[in-house]
Amino acid sequence: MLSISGLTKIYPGGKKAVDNITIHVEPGDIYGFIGHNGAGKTTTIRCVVGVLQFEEGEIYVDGMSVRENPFECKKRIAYIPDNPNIYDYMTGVQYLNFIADVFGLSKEERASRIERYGELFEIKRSLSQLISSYSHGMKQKLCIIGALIHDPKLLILDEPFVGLDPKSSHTLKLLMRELCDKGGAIFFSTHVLPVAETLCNKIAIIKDGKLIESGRTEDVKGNTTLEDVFLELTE
Amino acid sequence: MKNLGVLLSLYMKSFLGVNKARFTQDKKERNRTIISIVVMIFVACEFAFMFSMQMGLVPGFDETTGFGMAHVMTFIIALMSGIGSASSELMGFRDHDMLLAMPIKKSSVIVSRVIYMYASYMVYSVMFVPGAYIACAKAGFLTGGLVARSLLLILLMPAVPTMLCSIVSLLVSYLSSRFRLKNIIQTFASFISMILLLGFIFYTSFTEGESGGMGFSGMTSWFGEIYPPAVWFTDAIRGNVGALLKFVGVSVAAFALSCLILYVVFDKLYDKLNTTALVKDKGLDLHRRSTLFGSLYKKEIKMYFSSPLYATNTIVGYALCLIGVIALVIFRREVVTAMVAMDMENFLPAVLGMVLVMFIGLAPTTSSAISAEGSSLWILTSLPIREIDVFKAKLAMQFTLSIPVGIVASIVIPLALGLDLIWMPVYALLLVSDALLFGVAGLMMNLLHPKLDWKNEAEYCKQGMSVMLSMLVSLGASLIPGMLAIIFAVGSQYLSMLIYAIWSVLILIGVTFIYGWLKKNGAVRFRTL
Repeated sequence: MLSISGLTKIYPGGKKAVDNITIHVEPGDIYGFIGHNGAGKTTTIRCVVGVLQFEEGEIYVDGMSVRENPFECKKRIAYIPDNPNIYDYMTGVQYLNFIADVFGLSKEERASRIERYGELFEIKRSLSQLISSYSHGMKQKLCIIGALIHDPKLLILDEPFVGLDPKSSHTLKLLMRELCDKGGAIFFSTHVLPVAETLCNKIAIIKDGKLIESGRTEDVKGNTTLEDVFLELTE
Repeated sequence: MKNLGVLLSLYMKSFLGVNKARFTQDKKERNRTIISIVVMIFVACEFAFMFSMQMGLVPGFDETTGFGMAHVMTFIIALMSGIGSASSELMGFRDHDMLLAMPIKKSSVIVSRVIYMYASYMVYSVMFVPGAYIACAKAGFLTGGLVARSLLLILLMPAVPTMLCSIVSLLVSYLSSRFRLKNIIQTFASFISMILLLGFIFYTSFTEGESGGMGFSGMTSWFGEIYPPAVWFTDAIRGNVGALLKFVGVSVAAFALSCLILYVVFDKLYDKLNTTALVKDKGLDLHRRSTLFGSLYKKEIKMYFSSPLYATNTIVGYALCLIGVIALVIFRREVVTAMVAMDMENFLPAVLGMVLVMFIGLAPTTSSAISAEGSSLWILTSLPIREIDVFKAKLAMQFTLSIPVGIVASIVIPLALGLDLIWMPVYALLLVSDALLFGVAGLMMNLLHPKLDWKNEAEYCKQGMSVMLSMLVSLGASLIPGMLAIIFAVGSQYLSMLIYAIWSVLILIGVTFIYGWLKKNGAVRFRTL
């Protein structure tokens, strides 16, 4: 579903934010991506979704190169950034309609999905309000709904649980499992290691731009906890 | 005022992207910024030189002519650009919470904001004042005393416009903050304020006796009649100490009043402007559907009208154009009589063409349309939207404003002034082709010089490098054919028509090339933002 091969991103001035990373996400995977602050998680994610250009390596989504065919890749991806900066001058439903228009959803599809996700995340009543009146958590929920509304095959999330209340976090986890059960895949970064441990079937650990460990969660953590493994590897 | 210097240096760092260029590791970005600044300085010098030549042609030119004219233009342009946007410039800073959570006095923050706005109006005087110095030097009027007096007076020129803009704009903001759609209401209220101001300026310039608004000395004369400090200004230039003290006094008082008003209203108004009123839940309209272009275009319109500063800053040229057209219709007899008296019938159409193009190109929306996305740009770059579709929507927004205004002016002006009706299609071709040019060129400039990390909207829509460069493009696009058309009008106005027609065709060829750049290189640039 997602194949990152030898990804290298060098910022002007020569700083290697990401150095030769290789990760493969299969259909059905919930792939956790963990690392310290400034390790290169967000840079990797932004390269995958086509927001950031990269110098070396290749990224394939469903067999298509992100570099050569970004448009087709983006049709299959949904991206939720770590900072939900969205259009304050729109109402929630206008923002969702905008996303739905981009993906060409029918009236019936968008109506049913907005209803469903609006109820699940308990912001249906707020969707008619301007986004400028939303709290951070509400904007995050709106971003999530905007990502799920077009039924993506690959969900890329950058620290999705930040700002979410416990109930919404639980809802998001259920929806993530649901997406994977339908044959989709998820690739997300998080600092919340217990969540990664219970939710993800595969884990990659990045340190200073380099991949230092990856594989099935049980293999990576062994007999200890993920936190212990992470602290040991990133010392 | 302990931290005033710290705050001012903070704002200076964002000016024209200079600090970013200084520290960036990206050599190409640094070089682009340096080249753009050099080009701007070069063009500013050219403008100063041309202005000085114009000064030299004014009958009865003395040491006050150039400075008086600079004063008039600074006042009017500052008032026009600030009347709708001052409140956003004073109150719309994203680092507000951070600053006021620190041990920084509110008075320091207030004064720094007023100085920030004041300094942005000083830019307008910089456009005209160097030309006045050159003209005085050529005529032998430039003495040490004149330089010293003029420097002080020039420094104080923006004070009264700053105060007036602050009062009107804050009042409009306060009134509009009572409504849910406060941004849109504030934008329209600001348009109305601007139109009333422009209408007043045109009305007084056409009805003030001898000072009929024609020529520089006439304009300075009527301005002095409606604004007494202008008379103190010119008298002070001549060395009148009493007038100098009066002007200094009124300017300092105006600055102090601006700070005081802002200090008094700040807390309440800030809360009102930065909270959004909730409405009753009327249910959701979930069955709307648009095409991709329709959706992107609607987004551009919403974005445009949600920002009073962005909207009022870019609407100035079109408002000037429309009000000017209306004024020409109302005062057509006076205009025609004056032209005949000065034997300028042949030149009038050429001059009008130049002025109309200048108005249409004053502030294209596309020159800051990419920057306006700010931290929301990720939405467009992560969705399956082709870059050219994004560009088309932004261009459509620009053309929605510029082309209808151009066409109205093309039809009304020849009819109102009794010009040869062939001027209608000539003006239409000229204004539409230039509107296309300003649209695509503005977008190109913004792709090359985006400012996405802004904390205040003024940073990208007033001070952005792309906005400055776009203004230069419009100056060039109006002055080059305009001057040629005026020169050839000596022979016959039909030669002027030919100049404008040929120029329009060249512009359309240029537009094609720039659009091609947008499709290829522009798309690549957008992806790297």
